[in-house]
Amino acid sequence: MSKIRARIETGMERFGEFVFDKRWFVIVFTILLTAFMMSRLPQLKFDMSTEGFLHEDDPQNLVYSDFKAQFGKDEMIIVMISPKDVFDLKFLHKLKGLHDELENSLPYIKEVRSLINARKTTGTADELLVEDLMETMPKSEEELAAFKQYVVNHPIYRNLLISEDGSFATVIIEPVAYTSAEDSGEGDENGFDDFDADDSSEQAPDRQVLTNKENAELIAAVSNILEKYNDDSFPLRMSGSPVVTSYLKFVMQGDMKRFTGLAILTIAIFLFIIFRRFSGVILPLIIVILSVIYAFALISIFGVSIKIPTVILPSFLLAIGIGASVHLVAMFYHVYRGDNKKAAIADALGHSGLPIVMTSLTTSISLASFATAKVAPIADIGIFASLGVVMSLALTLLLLPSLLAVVPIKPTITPDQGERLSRMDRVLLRSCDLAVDHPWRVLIISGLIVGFLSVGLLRLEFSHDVLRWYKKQSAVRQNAELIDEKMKGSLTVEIVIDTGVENGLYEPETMHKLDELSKKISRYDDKKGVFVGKTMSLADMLKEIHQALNENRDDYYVIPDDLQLIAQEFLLFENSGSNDFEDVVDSQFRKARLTAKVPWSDSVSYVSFISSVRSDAAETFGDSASVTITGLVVLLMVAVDAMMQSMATSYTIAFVFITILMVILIGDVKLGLISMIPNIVPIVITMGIMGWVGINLDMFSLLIGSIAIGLAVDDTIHYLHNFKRYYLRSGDVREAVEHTMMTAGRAMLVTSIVLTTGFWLFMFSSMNNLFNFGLLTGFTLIFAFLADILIVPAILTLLTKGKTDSTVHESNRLSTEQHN
Amino acid sequence: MKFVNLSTRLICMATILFTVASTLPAGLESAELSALEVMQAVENRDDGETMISKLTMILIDKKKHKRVRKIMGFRKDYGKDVKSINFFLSPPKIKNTSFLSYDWDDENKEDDNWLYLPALRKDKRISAAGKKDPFMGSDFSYSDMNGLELIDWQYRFKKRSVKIKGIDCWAIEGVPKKERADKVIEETGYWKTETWVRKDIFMAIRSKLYVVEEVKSNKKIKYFMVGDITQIQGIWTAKKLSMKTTKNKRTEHRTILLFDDIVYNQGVDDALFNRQQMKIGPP
Repeated sequence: MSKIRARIETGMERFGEFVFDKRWFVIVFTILLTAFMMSRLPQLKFDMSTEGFLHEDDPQNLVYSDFKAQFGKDEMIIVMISPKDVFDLKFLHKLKGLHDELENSLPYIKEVRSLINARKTTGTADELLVEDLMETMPKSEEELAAFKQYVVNHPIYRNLLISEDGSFATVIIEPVAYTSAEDSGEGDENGFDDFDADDSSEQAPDRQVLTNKENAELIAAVSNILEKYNDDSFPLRMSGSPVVTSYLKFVMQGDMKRFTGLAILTIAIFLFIIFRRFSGVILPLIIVILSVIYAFALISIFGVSIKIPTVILPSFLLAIGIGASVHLVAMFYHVYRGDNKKAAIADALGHSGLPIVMTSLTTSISLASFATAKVAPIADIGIFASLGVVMSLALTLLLLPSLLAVVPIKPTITPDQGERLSRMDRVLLRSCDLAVDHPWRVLIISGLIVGFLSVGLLRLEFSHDVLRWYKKQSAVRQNAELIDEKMKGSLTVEIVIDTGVENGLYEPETMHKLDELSKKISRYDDKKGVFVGKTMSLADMLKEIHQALNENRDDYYVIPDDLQLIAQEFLLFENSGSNDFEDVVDSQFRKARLTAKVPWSDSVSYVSFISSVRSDAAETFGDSASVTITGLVVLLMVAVDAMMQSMATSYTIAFVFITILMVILIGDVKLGLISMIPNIVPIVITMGIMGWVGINLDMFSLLIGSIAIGLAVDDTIHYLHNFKRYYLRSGDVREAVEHTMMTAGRAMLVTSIVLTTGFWLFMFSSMNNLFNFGLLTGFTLIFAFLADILIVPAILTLLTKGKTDSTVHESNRLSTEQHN
Repeated sequence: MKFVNLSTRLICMATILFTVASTLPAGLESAELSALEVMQAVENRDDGETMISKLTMILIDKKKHKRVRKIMGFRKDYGKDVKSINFFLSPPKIKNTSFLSYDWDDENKEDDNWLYLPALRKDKRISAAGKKDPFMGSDFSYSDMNGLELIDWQYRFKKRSVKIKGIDCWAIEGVPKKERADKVIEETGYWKTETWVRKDIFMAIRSKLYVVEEVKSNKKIKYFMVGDITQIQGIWTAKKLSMKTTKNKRTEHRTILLFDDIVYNQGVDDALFNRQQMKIGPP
């Protein structure tokens, strides 16, 4: 094995010489490549939608698209007004003003609904009247009182347009689900083309989901209008899922910029502290910054959109990439005496090249293990972070030596640097001694800690609570929570009942079942945050019509039992000018939509709700209809499920691959397997702590495991690589360990500090999820470092006990002399 | 002899001129017509004092699903007023439903529209405010069926000659007169119309109707077309009518009306056009 290693090291030295010779070529090529990559950056797309959480062809996404194509979007912008009294003439006039202005000036909307244009279905002896609730504004106190009475007595408005206690009113804005091509103006005669065909072939303009930009435009427009109307007597709040997700994007983007900047700054500071020279700061930074640019350029080239988790990618790549450059640069300064750069570069690459390649590969693989994740943005991070690390490696091996060759560098002479580090050295050496002298103690105590904490693993729960990512004081969160409380929910679960036949919904039995299911579902309340505030369906509309056709008598608010009657009542309604049927049924009267209003909650909580709905539906309809459940909430829930699956698979893949690599690297199966212990321990500790403290496992903390394995393995590789070299030379464990500490150990400590700080920067985020992620990952890295400097030497000591062979010692000394 | 030749020639010329003049096709005169006069001619075109027909109504939604209804219709003109009654023959669930309509020329008189539902055993009045509302759930509104009130509109030629399917037409643009705009929009829902009229028979064969929407960013346009134009009993008739509703250039819905068994000017009793008849059914 050592022969192969020696050969590889020599190969690396040759490579270093080669790069030195070709340094200008490398530099020029890199400049050109960078120019190309940067030109791709402006085409980057953002996608902060919930649909983006799942892959485009995920069956759930397809069901959701079908639903939107038929019934429109289920995501509404909700404007809530809390006046002193809703039933007040002044307030109602202002409400009308607001309503009209929204209708007239907002882009990308399908409809605006409020008490102003809510449907009022009444009947006289002769007539069925379907009109707007406030077709004419009440003018006198009597009219106002009559109006109030009507609203209060008709349940369709409650918990939708007015709160149960009557103190809050809402305006609901429905955005379009799809936008089409720009109107080419009135001069087109294309409208007449399809006359002779009975079916018109599908239209030219392509369907495009409302983009983030358009969504943001809409929300900004609403916001501007609200500002004009907002005052003490007309306090306005805005919420709804489009708002929550839009601000999410805004915040995440801001965070991304901030962290990238901070990360660069922190790394620069540390580099300066360590190396005390300009080149020591700039060169490694160039390498990692380029790798970030390339990674994003690749994202753009592949047409992938940047999603919420992708936001951590820059600071992530910066932190991970810096280790390789630091090791190489450190080694270079160590061997460079001021005269022969070529030799110094070759030497540095010979020493550090192999471990750098190994660490990059293991990190890359552990990230790539996420590429198969069902959660699309996690898969994206997996792929592009993995590629970023590979590119970082290439840059470290090619560009960095070239730059070192070209840039003027002062040789190392700094004694004070040595003194500074000696404090560090003393700490490191003390830990060595501890591990070598008392290996059993170290191992047992570690084992106990891990054992205790791993119980916490059992208490870990998955969570995906988008609203609670926002800090408690954030306006977005508070508005959403208030609307949820007062209007009994601001999200919906959409249930589509397909009878399978045209006019299937004319059947009284079917309508009764629809009504029954609505009632069953509306009773759900898990007392933990998920409840159904209201259900709405065609059954309600039918009851409304039937009542109106029978002198508005309350006892006629029922489903009629005559099929002909149902068919004809629908016909009459259609003729009365309302197109409200479009919202709840298809034109064939085959599919009905049942909407259940729910509040924001952890997606995991919806799992029980959805399965309850499914069993209620099966119970009610049996085989007579097929029931589909979709909507934003369902997508969120499925994303959680996908997360859990991804985690299990990815961790397993990563673990297996890395173990294999470690075995190859170390050249010894037993040792290779054992070397995985210090890699697993930090993760178990962190997750255990999370379990005990009650921090939930979400999309971001999920990534911790993968990141931690990749980075912890880096430390272990460097450690073992150097240990093996020194042990072979000296035959003495203690000496080998100490020597390792002084070389690799120092670099490991430095990179661990840099990385931990880099991740702790996320604690500056305005989002709870990123805060936790940063905090926990930072700690995990500290544990990884400690595991490497304590557990590894302890194990090595035990394994090599009694093997201090003088023969080995002699032969090694000989070979060392030869080597030198 | 000269005298005789001259007067004979004069008489001949006069006769020729007179004959030619009297046989001039209407089209030549029309070179002088204003846009409004064209539209008036369209309105005044003979469409029979009475009409009996079998109508097939095909409703097509945006997913191309079709619903077919068969209707038997009776119409009678009373001067400028029009009464009509339509009986649904199929589909079975709405069979024997009928629809009665009185369209009064006097704009101060509200039109009467009634729908009889056999299962309810009652007839219900359709709200008058709903003139722009869809007729029987189709893309045709009541005002489409009854025609627009010309005096409310201002017409001008968009093109004095354009060929559609080889036939010369006028393209006429109409906008509501300013002082009547509110009423027009209230009643018809249109803020602009474009009509293509065949010069030879004064039939409007195409229309583009611009609909007012509450949500201003939704551009709704209806496209009206006719086809299968023939003469029945000397009266020019379009046996196929189509109305397509589009929103932001996407087709939302389409209705096709196919007329058959058309009989004009033949024994349509006044007694047909009342609420009792709705319950009795077609004669």
